[in-house]
Amino acid sequence: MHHNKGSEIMGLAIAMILITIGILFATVFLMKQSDEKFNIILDQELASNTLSSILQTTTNCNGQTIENLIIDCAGERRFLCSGSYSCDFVRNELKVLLDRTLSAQKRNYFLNFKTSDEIFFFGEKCQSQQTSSTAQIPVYGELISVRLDLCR
Amino acid sequence: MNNKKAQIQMFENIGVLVVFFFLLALGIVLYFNYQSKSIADYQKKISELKAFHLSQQLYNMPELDCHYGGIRINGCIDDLKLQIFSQQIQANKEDYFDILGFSEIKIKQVYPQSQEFVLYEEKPQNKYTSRVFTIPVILFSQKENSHCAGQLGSCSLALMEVTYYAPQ
Repeated sequence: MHHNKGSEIMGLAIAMILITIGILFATVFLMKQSDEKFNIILDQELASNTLSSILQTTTNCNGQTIENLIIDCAGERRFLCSGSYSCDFVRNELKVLLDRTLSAQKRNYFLNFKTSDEIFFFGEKCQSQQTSSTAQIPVYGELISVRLDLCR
Repeated sequence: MNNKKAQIQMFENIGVLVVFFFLLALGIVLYFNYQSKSIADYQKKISELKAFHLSQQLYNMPELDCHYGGIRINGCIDDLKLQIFSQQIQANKEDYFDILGFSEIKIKQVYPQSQEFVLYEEKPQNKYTSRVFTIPVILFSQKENSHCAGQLGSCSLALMEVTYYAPQ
């Protein structure tokens, strides 16, 4: 009987400790989840700002923006930029812009431009989770969809 | 006989209490270790959040934003406004401290040329932790023969680097 009483107290003590440890792990898990949400918000802001800033950047090709050169590349190809067509020029400049922004911050990304018959992209597809930002550029009755994925 | 039984029972109770207090102490040590780590993490997170919040506040400030003919360009800083605002901050540091606090705000132009501009810098005297948030913005300057966001002007690509210092 007395033996049982001792074991009961011991059992209760262990149960209390286990419950405390459980609560501790639950708190850690919940904190990690809120951290994840916070990082997603930061990445969404970074992705959308990067995409819109890059598209609006003025190049030294006839004072045109990256967006205008993409439109030109998909359509009339009127602009000659430093002896090359707008398509080649815009590819090179996009690489430079991405290197100086996302790569400089050691961020992995995948930027892809898609028209009805052509796709060109920069970076590598994200292996795990990603945060994306998209934009649509209207070109002569069709849309070029631009998507930037920031890998986590 | 009864005395011996009582002694054994007492030792038993003492044993249970020793184990209990040992486990309790272990729990308390683990808990406080975890707490101190989580407080430090939380402080870092708050600094990061503050840096993020400041960056959002900055490019939405009328002192810096690009607003032309009723059209506002998102994520844009006016080059001319930036020069004037920088002088204004230097002249009225106390007024802007309420908004910007202990922080460092740099605008780093990365395209077409590279150049750096420190807009604001105020470090705490005591020990501090710091977090940096960097976000791309466009730097608008009025120019003929160039186009940017439907305006006559040039848009350079820049990084706004906000470092927030949290005193410890």
